[in-house]
Amino acid sequence: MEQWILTTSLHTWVIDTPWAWPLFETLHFFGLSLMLGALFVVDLRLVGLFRGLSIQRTLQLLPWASFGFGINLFTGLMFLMGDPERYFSHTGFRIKMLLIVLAGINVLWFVLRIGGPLQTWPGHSNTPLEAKLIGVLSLVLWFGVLIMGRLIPYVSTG
Amino acid sequence: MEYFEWLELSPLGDWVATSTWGYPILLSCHAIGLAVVAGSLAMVDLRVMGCFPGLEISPLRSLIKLAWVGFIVNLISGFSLFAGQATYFINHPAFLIKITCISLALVSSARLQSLLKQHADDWDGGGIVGSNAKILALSSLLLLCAAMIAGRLIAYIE
Repeated sequence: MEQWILTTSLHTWVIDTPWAWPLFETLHFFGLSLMLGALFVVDLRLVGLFRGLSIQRTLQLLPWASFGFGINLFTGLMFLMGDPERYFSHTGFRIKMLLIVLAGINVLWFVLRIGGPLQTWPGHSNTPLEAKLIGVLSLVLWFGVLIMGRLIPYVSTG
Repeated sequence: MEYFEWLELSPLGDWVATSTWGYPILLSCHAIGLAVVAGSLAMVDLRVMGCFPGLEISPLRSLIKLAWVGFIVNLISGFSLFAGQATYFINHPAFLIKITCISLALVSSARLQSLLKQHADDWDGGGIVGSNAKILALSSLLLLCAAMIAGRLIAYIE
């Protein structure tokens, strides 16, 4: 995989274009702010805070969170194309990817168990324990992703 | 200038510059604070500008309070990071632009916060969001983006 990436013209473009890396990094920050901002509202409401917000209406923010995730998926792939040798064997990167997978499973848990019944909950009431658990897990996992990502340049490879 | 040299040589500056974990730990805190400030404020700004219109505005005032917590985190972590290389940062154009953008974003966000305190209930009750509030929200959003761009450029220009 690594070897194949090094032969692509996209790899050469990312490495040889001076503004590509800083641009994608900046977009990566925009994407994470959008995604985490939207998730704060949704997750904190799931936890039972912000009860002034109707819980069903907070779900309107999920497309914004997905858009932020999409920006970061794209820019993240660009980093991977530009410098595959740095990432694939990197412990920090591997932990980050593992946390993203776990966060994805948490989303699945939400969709399968909470998404349906939530529609009938009173909009401004407290939430059941399972919803609180999902909200807390989401915040913990995504902050873990953020920290691991920020540490990638500082944690040694291998 | 002497003050900035003193800051670099202070125990804080020295710890940031020379310890193995000081710098990465502070950077992680700074990334978390960024997500909290920019994420929370972006949601408030977008809502005031007319995005996700179903969501109540008044309860989002708690989100602005959360943004202030993130701001304190970044003030402390940012000052510590600054202490590690004070004489370098204080002459860096991108750093100075970043601080200017943050100061202006601070003013527009505080102003927006007081507008929300006065009018949010009225807006939720069907009142039309005034154009002064929309302009403040837009400028807060653009200043946050500009601060992030300038912050990233610190690592790229001399």
